[in-house]
Amino acid sequence: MGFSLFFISIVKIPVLIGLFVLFRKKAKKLSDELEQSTGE
Amino acid sequence: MALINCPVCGKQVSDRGTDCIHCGSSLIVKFAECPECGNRQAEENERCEICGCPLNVKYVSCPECGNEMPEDAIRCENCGCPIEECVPIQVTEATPQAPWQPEMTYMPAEATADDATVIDKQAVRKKIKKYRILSDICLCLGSAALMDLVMRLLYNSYLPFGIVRIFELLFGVIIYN
Repeated sequence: MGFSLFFISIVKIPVLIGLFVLFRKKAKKLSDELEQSTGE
Repeated sequence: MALINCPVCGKQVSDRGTDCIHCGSSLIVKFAECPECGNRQAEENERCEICGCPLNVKYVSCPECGNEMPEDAIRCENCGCPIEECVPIQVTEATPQAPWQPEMTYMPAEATADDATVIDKQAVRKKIKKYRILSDICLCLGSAALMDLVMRLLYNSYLPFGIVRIFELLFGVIIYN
């Protein structure tokens, strides 16, 4: 039981950090595109 | 056959003649009287030959005082009333009203390219906001998971029981049954 909880914690941290980075990148990409279209 | 008065000199001449035998003026041409000096002139003349007054000017009466003045006058010479303001408003025919239509709350089909661009930008902004919120949620959950992991590790080694219980309550994780 203790091991499984520990394992879940270890797995979910990188997953959540990966999702965080992914969403941030997407937001940044979209904001850059928006800035470019506004600048033109 | 009869005798008429010449319109210019006033002497009697035959109505069948084309010219006055006394002054030589034409009897066929229509004559107009000068409003200034009263001299009779040919109607086709633009100005009086004696005083130079314009002959073919139409006169209007002032709506305020009734004074007669040329049609192209700007103001009445007598009372100063502006003529343009006194012109009655022309009554136009009432145009039939368009049938009632409900207000358009949706985007019309013939929207221009600019409208489409604005809508597209709004959609992109919404998407950006959504991704930022999702990333913030992921960051919060990741931090919580990290803290949970750290506390587990620390609890097993160093930290006292009370602090671990606080984190257990905070993150909703039961470490020990």
